[in-house]
Amino acid sequence: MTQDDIASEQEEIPVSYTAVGCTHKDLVLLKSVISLYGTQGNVAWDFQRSLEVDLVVIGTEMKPFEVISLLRSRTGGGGLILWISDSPYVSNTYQILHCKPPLHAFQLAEQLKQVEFLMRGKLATRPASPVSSAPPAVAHHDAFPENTRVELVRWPSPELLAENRNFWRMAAMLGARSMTLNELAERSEQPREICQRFFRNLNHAGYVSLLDSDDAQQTAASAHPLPEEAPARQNSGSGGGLRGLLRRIRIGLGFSSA
Amino acid sequence: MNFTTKDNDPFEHDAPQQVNEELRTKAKYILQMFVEKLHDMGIKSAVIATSDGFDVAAVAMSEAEGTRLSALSSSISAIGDMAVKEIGTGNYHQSITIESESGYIFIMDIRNPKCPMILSVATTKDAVLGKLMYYAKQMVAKMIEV
Amino acid sequence: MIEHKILFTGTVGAGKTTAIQSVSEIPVVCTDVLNSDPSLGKEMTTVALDYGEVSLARTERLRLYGTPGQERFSFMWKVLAQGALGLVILIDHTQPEPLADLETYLKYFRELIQSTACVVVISKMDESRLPAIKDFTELMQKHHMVYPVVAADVRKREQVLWILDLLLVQMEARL
Repeated sequence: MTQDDIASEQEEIPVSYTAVGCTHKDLVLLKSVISLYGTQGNVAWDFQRSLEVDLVVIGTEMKPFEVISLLRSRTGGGGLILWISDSPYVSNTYQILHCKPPLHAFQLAEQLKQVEFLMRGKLATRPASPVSSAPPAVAHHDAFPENTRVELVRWPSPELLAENRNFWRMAAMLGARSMTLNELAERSEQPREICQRFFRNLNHAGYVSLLDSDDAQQTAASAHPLPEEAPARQNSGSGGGLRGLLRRIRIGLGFSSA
Repeated sequence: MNFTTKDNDPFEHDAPQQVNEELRTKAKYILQMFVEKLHDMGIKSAVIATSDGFDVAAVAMSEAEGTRLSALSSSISAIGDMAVKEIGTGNYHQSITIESESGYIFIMDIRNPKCPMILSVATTKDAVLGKLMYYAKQMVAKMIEV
Repeated sequence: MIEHKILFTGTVGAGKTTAIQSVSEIPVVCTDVLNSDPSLGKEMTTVALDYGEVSLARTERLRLYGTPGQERFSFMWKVLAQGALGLVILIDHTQPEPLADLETYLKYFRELIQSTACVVVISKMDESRLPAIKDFTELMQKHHMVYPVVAADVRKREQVLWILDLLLVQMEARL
């Protein structure tokens, strides 16, 4: 990270939010956690009675179809939703964070941290520069610097994977080969923030182990490279080796994008 | 034994018969007679199994070997049927002989309508195949009527 | 004709033949025989193999092989595993011991799984009963195996395609 980036980590960012369909109890908890958390983090939380806010918190009192029409009625505001519900929802338009009821302070605080993180990502004016070998000034694993390899140690729960429709494939990739954040972003062709969020969620739930650059060499080797007997070199058919074969299999099966 | 594709409905026959004690006893007897007749033929094991690979009667070196031979002959039979059908030389195999450096494995279909079965015989190299097949056919004919 | 192979294994009645049929271009060819084991609750059982096909190029084909489910036919598992690109394990959730069933296949197919790719599919999943998905993933973690575990209905083509996608993604990641 450059000096400028580090500075932006410590700048206070404003996040406007509102709450709809929450029980009184949940609303009280939300506001008190925010006021507690607000003193630790670097976010200026601003409650507004309006939908045109950065974050909409949706409570258990609203039915999904009511939520959808509510969101459709918005004329502005950001794409972040924190939804308190039993089943997670996914959306192409919104980034939906999820808390299972009954609401607890700890899980709420975790999600708020994530909100801050995503808001910072949105506000950053320059692309993330390669991390130097020095440890980041703000020490936390959630940034997943260049030399951190993430290894999947257990297949994640369907709930975690349901948060984003690409998470399934990303997990399958990660299971086959430990990766850095950059590698995942490149291989999955997903935005960095999505990959970062994915890693964060996995890390918090205990599905991964993090390896530093020294271990990185070892892990790359143990990423189960295809053995010498891979079919490609026996008869690679129309050429292009195994990569070509996998592409042809996708086409043959009728996947829309090979 | 049915060799099916998804086109034809394989469920047009009666419910499968379990191997009952009567069948088992008769099979044991018939098999015993067969093995005794061929006592000079270097038979190592002889097994009558259901088409899905469970033993009905066995004269074998060990129980484990009898069980193994049952399962193996079931798979080999099924592939034999598939080969015959694919190449177009019939619908069901009648017999399969596997020759190795130390002996033979001979597999014969027992097309008993109540309970499809398979005879399999493992022998040393001394066996005279022609004689073996002749008596096996006789034995299978008896088993079909059981 | 150049042949490639993806293998489907798993418990009897879990849906191996059905899964293959959902994507195969030809009617599935199978070696089903009358089942003499009443405990299986099925009329027919596979004793050698099933197969379906997907054509890839004029002289290239992908074969989808199904193994027999019973451990008695484990010699066929070995034969069929040779040269496979990947393995789909189907576990019938309605059977009495799904976890033990999975363990059996993980044991027999360990070498194939670790050198290629694997997806574990829980079929006929009942969410209200144990074991839950997390019990399966915990078991696999214990065996140091991290592969997708999904609940699916293999009668549906798009779900089988999804399963095969997860298989292909693993293979591509290792390139």
